[in-house]
This record gives sequence, structure tokens and C-alpha cells, in this order.
Amino acid sequence: MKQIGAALLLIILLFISSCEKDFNINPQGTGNQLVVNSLFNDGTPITVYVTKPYPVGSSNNYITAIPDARVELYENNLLKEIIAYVPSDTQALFGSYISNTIPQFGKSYTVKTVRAGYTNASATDTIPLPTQLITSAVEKYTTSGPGPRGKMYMVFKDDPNTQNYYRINAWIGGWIPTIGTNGDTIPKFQFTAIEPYATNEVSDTVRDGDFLLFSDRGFNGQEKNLELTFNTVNPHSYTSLYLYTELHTISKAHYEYFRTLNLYRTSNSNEPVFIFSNVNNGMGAFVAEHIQTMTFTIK
Amino acid sequence: MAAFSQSTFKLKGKLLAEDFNPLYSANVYVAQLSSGTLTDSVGEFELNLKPGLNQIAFSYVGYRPRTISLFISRDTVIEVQMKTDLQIGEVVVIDKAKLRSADHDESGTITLRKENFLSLPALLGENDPMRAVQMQPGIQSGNEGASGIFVRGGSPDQNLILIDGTPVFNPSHIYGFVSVFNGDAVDKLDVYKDTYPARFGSRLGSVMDVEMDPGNTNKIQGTASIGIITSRVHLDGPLDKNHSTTFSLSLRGCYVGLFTGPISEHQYKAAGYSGLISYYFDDVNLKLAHQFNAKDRIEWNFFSNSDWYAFTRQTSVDNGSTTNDIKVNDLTSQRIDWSNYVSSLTWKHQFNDRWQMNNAISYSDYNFLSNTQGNYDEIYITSKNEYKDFSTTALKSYVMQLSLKSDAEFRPDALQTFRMGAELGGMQFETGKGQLSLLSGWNTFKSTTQPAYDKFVRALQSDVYFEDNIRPSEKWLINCGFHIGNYTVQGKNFFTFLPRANISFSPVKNFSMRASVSGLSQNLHLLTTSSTDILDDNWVPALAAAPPETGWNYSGGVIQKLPLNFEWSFDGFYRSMKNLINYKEGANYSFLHSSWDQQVVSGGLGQAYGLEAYIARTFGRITGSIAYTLAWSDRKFASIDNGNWFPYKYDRRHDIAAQLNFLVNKHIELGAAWVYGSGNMVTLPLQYSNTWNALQYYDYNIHNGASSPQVGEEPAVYSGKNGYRLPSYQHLDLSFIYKMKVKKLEHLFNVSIYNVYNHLMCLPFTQLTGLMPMAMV
Repeated sequence: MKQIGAALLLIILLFISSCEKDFNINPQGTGNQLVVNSLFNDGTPITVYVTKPYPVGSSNNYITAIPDARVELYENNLLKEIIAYVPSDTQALFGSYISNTIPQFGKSYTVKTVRAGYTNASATDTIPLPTQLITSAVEKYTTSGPGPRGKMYMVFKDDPNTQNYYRINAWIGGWIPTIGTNGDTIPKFQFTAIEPYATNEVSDTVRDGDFLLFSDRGFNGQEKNLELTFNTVNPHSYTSLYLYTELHTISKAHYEYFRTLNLYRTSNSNEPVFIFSNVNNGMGAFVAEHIQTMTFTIK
Repeated sequence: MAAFSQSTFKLKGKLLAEDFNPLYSANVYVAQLSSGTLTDSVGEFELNLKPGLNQIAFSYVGYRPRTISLFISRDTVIEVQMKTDLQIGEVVVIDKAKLRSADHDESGTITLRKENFLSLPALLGENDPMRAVQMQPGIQSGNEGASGIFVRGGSPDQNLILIDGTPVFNPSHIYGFVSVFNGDAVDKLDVYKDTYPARFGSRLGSVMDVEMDPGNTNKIQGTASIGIITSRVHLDGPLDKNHSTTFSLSLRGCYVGLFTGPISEHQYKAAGYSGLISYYFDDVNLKLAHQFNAKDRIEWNFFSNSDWYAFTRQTSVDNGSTTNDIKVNDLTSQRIDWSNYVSSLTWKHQFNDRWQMNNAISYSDYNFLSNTQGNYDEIYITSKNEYKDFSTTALKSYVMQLSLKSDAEFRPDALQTFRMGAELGGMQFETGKGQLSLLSGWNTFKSTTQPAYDKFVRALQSDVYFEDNIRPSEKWLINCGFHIGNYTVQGKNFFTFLPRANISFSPVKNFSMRASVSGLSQNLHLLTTSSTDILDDNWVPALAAAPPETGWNYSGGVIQKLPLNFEWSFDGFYRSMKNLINYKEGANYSFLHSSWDQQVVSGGLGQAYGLEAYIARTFGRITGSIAYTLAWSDRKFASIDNGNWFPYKYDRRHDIAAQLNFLVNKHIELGAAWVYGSGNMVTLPLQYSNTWNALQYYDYNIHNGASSPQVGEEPAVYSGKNGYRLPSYQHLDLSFIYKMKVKKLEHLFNVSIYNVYNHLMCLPFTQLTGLMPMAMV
């Protein structure tokens, strides 16, 4: 009986211990897709980054720029130019396709990217119309005391004809003495990003540590008085100090990109997060914005 | 191995009308026993008779009563055809093998009996009724390790699974390998894939009506079975001298943990750990029935199952990698328990030949409890310093339903039956009850406790229905009706009106065409994850934020009985679904950050459509069937995968189920079953792009004078929601059954081989990001 029991145990052991095996994932349906990225506004030429992704499990696990693609830029569906590649400089790892076109708000821009061995990729976005910024002011900027130490407000008029999305970024910038290589004290202008908090309610809010994202749901077509607070950067070391607050009027694609990107970054990733892409047959984001900068002298 | 004493024989029969349609609820009375029974919905009955001559009387409204004399010397199956005129009914004695294959009737209902699942190869020694169901077209198992069954592209929660009329929420043991239905205890199982009679109202998909064995009226008898990892015992028979009270008791236990414990211990030891994996389950089926007189009968039914899984892994290191004399202890453990409790008390009363009524009170609950513990200790022996990092998470989910139900049936003549009824049910849900406890630090430890976001909800459901089953002529059969429901939760009412119609037309004998349309609704959701299938599944109620799911089902088909006992059928279906729910992108399953309703998206759309072909030989020494399904199943949520339609996790394009049985002689029976299905759809990271970097630091870099973005993190690009199809699911199983009789004991040896050609099948994922899936036999 003992022998039968031992034999049974051995059989079960063999069955169970040999029943697990890894297999490699075959990347079904991904094809050779390009990554096309551009964040453009109506103040600067459109710059497009075209790169190559790498598959999960690949030993070549780094992003590479693609310098020999044909990148066509269309304005309101008319070919505007074929954008030339500009190699990377010492500060950047990627070269980019820098156009001669300074886009205008209200017009749609399309980028079509063709490169042998890859699927043709295209994306379109439109720079939103500027938001009417009525007034803005800094209410306080202190280095001590309870609560937030920076506070400002802005009043703007939302466009009633469209659903609008906004992004707010803020920086503290100023001259700061630094020690040069020969021991001299040299003044240097330095920016530091500070995170804005909205103290009155806005909808569809996304916060990312650097920016505040929201929509006009709840004040569509109305004047919005938005109060913002900041945790300040200590101004003592600055010889002069400015607060820069940017109101970005952004496209829906721009909003979705940052919303999903933030979710990807902050979630515990139990459920997968799909980062928004408006690139057809490719990856990345070709998204537009209009920027209005408010500059306040603090010190 | 099974054995039972036998001084009685079973008489199974079917009562047919002149046109061979079954007669439902006809009286069958045995004078020698002073008792009898009623035929069921497919006209069948079963009696235990003493050997010798028996007088059996049949009566049915509109038909001439008839008494036959039958000499019983073995188990016997008869068909009795009743006549509306004064002719004598015809009695046909047929071979028992006729009951070996599922019965597909002209209305689209599939009926499976005990013989059907006993003839399939047994997995883990269990002749599982659900395995037999999965051999039918359009019905799939998820795969091994996935709970529930999937009917025509629906999810497991969309199947209403009833035990004697009471719903059971989770029908799976051992991660779906074995269902909770003990083959010994089940008498019959009706599957409604698309006909949806109006009396069923609370699910969006199929109905599976499991009828438990009521016990024979003659003598106590039973079976016992001993397997390597499961054993079971079944007893049934009368409890009193009058044989008016009967019982049926089935007990089953699984002790696979006795083997997995030492095996896993051995494997852990080889990998440098200590620990073990254990798994046990048990279930109980008990049915008591008392026949007061020819018109009144009471039945009490009880079912429960408990599953218990535990996992422990520990590492202990003395004098570890540091220069200190350090002792490290790292322990991870998990224990999961789940259980169903189902009970019902039914009073059946027959007013006269035309009217009868069933009244029932029923209770069903499902409990799920998970405890996870992690303990990391560093003890510095010389300095006596200690670092500890301890966490324990306990989470519980619970769903309960208590119902009062009354059904009436009126049969004005032999060609028409009206059914009507009402039900009032209360439901209680508790999802995410539990807490996270943390204890961490050096030398002195302070524990903190964070409660989970528990969601407790009570709801009230009331339903009425009306159903008419009519045969206007020999060629037509119509079942139509409606189901009205009102669901109240959190002060909000949801009203539904669900029309149902199923029409069959037989232009020639043995051939019929069928078309049906059904309005559907269900007031609870099964919240499932993208990763593991059962451990994170939660039953949750419909709320204002996640309204009841609704849908429509359209289907049609043909069925033909051929010579030589062959039959074939072909069906098409389309089902639309609304108000589906799903976890949000990025949702956390633990409920430690927010309650379930904060983590789901509702208003999802779904559609499933496909074609089914089926051919079977139902009678003879060689019987078998082949079922093929070609199907699509998609889902759409506004905020998932950019609002695109995506394949449902169990979107199985091709599904084949084939079985073959060969009765070699009266002792030996051979069986084979082969199942093939396209692989499940999952969400996988397939590549990495620099989407994030190029934009995330754009502003910052510009302001700092950089001319272009810097390289930073690189997010994964997924396959799209459920965009990756796993390898196919398939296995061939063989069985050898040997029967012999020694004195009064009948012995049955069943040897089955599962997955003969050793095909690897994917287990559910525990994590998705960056991990390769695992496979197992």
C-alpha cells in the first residue's frame, strides 16, 4: 500500500512540476509604426519629432530618432511645406523636423510622415482661438505664515461656441548669484516650475505636479474668475524675482493626451492605461495650443 | 469507484401527445406504491419500481387517461403517446442509450440529464454537469482557471444559474476546473440560450435551470465514489413507511491540498524558500420532499459549497550579505475563502387538472474573503536593533438575495398553457469591507490601520410575468409573454418591460424552424478585472451611477431529426447590450483608495453575434456530437481605449466541442471529448515609445534654454484594450468506464485522461505590465 501511495505521489509530482512554461509574446498587429510628436502653438515654428519605438523584451531598448523620413505639413488640408530634418545639438539627444511655418490659430494643421519600412502616419490638430484674458493679479507672495504662500487670480472669458480646455503652468524666474569657474560671483537667470492649485471649483481637473488641466464644463461661455495658489520658492536668494503664469488654451487632443499621460503616471496600474494618441497608423501626439503668459514682478 | 445496492429499478419515461410533443405536468401514478409523480417541462418522469408487474396510470387534461401494465426486470425507459380520442395510447420501450446525448428540442431548449455528464471523460474524477453544458454550441468555458461559463459572447454574470429555482452566484470550484454541481445530485439541467421564457427575468444572457435529484420513493440506496483527490457519497430514498417523504443527500470533498502541500513544499525548498500551497473544497446537496396527497407537495432544498485556498512563502537568511550579523525573515502569505449558500422551500399545489401553483421562499448568498500578509524582519544580533515592515490586507465581498415567489399555471386544453407569477426579492451587497494594517520602523513599532472603502447597498426587486405557450396547429408552436420588473436602490426606481416571443414552425415532420426575440435586463453586475479572473471578481448592484444592464436578443435557427438517430441544427444570433460596467483605466482593485463605484465606468455598450452548427447521433452503441460556433463579441466604453470598440475578453472566434461515446459491451464504455477555442483576448504592453518625454518637459526645457526635449521615461504602448489574442485553448480527453455487478453491488471504474496531447494553456495573468504570460497543462 505504501508503494502504491508513493507511486501515486510521484506521478502527481511529475505531472504538476512539469506543467508550467513561459512563452514569447508575438507582437500581433503592431506593424512598424512611427512615433510622431509635436506640441505646437501660434507663436513658434512647428517642430516634429519622429522616432522609432522598441518592442517589449528587445535588447535594443532605447528610442532612436528617424532622420530620413518625409514629413509633410498641411495647412487647412493644403500642402504647406516638406519639413527638413535638423540634427540634434549638444543639448538634445534627438534631432527634429523644424518647419518654416508659424501656425495661426483657428487653422488646422496636418502632418503626414512617410518612411520606407514603416506605415505612413498622419495626424491633425487645430490651434484653439485665444481666450479673452480680462485681468490678472498677484494677491500675495510670502515666505512665511500658514497656508499657501503664493496666490493670484485671473479673469478670462470662455468662448461660448466651443468646448474649451485649459492648461495652466507657472514658473518662478529671477536673477540668482552663482559662483563662476574662477570664483567670481555671476548673476544667472533661473526658472523653477511651481505647481498651481485652483481654489475655486473647475471641472475635469487633472494635476500633474507641474500643471493644472481643466475644461470649461460649468462655465461655458462665461467669465471665469480663477483663483490660484502656489507653494512658493524661497525668494531670498534671488536679486530679482518674477512669477510667470501661462494660460494655455488647448485642443481636445491636447487635453486627452495630458489626461491619460497623467493617469498612466499616477495610477497603480492595476487596470492598463491607454495613453491618448491622435496619430493615425502610428503613435504619439500632434497637439495644439495657444499660450498667453502673465508676468508679475515679485521682487 | 462506485457501488450501490439494487432491489429496485428505475423507470424513466416520456409522455407525448399525438404530434409527439411532450406533455408537461401530466399525472403518473403507480398503484402498488400508492404514489406517483408529475411529468416535467419536457414531458419526462422517473420512478423507482420493484421488480415484477407494475400498474402505471397516466392522465392529462384533454386526453383519455390510460393505465398500462409493465413487467420490470431492469432499468427501463418508455415513451407513452397519449391520444385525444378514445384510441389506446402506444407504449414504446426503447434503449436506455437514447438518453445519452443532450436533447435539443424545437423551441431551442437544451436538456441534459445525468447520463449525459456521466458519459463524458471525468476531470479529477468528477463527471461535471457544466462540462456537458460546455459541449453544446455557443457555450464556452473561459478556460481552465477562469470561473463560469460564457454563452454567446456574454459574461459569466449574465447567466442565470438556478438550483431548483434559486440563483447561485459563483458556480465554480478550484478556479473553474470543476463546477459546484455534483453530478450525483443533479437530476436534470435545462439550458435556455435564446428562448428566454418570460418566467425568467433577471439576467441578460442564458438561463440554466438545474433540477436536483428529489430521491426515489421506494428504498434507501446510494453510491460512493473514491478518487485520488476527490471523494463523494450520495444517498436517497424514502424516510417513512408510506414512502411519502423522500430525501436526497450528496456530499463531496476535495483534498488536493494533501498533495499540493508536500509538492509545493518540495519545490519551494529547491528554490531556496519554505512554504506551501493548499487547496480544499467541499459541497453539500440535500433535498427533502413530502407528498401530502395527490395535490400537495413540499420540497426543501439546501446547497452549500466552501473553497479554501492558502499560500505561504518564507525566506530566512542568517548572516546575510551585509557585514552585520543580520538575520532576515521575509514572509508572504495569502488565504482566500469563498462559499455559496442556497436554500429554498417550495409548496406545490394542484387545484385541479387545469390549475396548479408553486409557492417558494428562497435564499442565496455568496461570500468572498481574502487575507494577504507580508512580513519583513531584519534583526541585528549584536546591536539588538530590529527593523520590521509588516502589512496585512483583509477584504470581504458579500451578496445575498432573499425572495418570495409564486407561480401559477393554467392549462385550458391540451394545446395551450398559461403561466403567470410574481416575485419579491430583497438583495444586500457589501463590497470592499476590510482594512490595510501597517506596522513599520526600527525597534519600536507603531501600527496604523486604513479601512477599505466599503460599499453597503440594499435593493428591492419586484417582478411579475405572463407567459402563453400555445400550439395553434400541428405545425406551429408559439411561446410569448412579458416580464415586468421594478428595481429600487438608493431611493431610485428602475422599471423594465421585457417582451418575449419564440415561434417554431415545422413545415414537414422532424424539421422545424425557429425565431425568437427577447428583451433582457439585469440588476447586478459582475465587476471583473483585466488580470486574474476569479480572485478579484465582485458582484455589485446596479446603482444610479451604474444602472441596470439591458439588452435585446434576436436569434433564429433550424433543427432536423434525421434517420439513424442523427440530428443537426444551425442557429444565428445577435445580442445587443447596454449599461455595461468596467473598471476605469488605471483603477485599483483593492478598494483601499476608493469604493468600487468610484472606480468604474458605466454606460458601456456590447454586442455579440455569430453562427452555430451542431450535428449529433443521439442513440445507438456509438453516439456523439460536434458543435461549432463562429462568433464575435465586442464592448465599447466612452472612456476606455479612447472610446473605441474593443473585443470582449472572451471574444472567441472559433469554438469547437466534439464528443464520441462507444458502448463496447454491457461492461465497457469508451469516451472521448475534444474542445478547441480561439485564445482569449488580453491587454498587453507590446512596445515602448517616447510619447511622454517629448511633451512632458517641453515647457520646462524651453524656459531653461534647452532647444529640444530631453530623454526621460518611456511609457508602454499597449496592444489596445484586449488587443492581443492568446494561443488557442484546446484539450482532448479520453475515458474508459468498466461496469460490473457483484451480488447486489454495482461497481464502476472510471479512468480518464485529461489533455492527452499535453497542450499548454494560458492561465490568467497576475500582472500585465511588462510580464510574460505563463502557461500550464
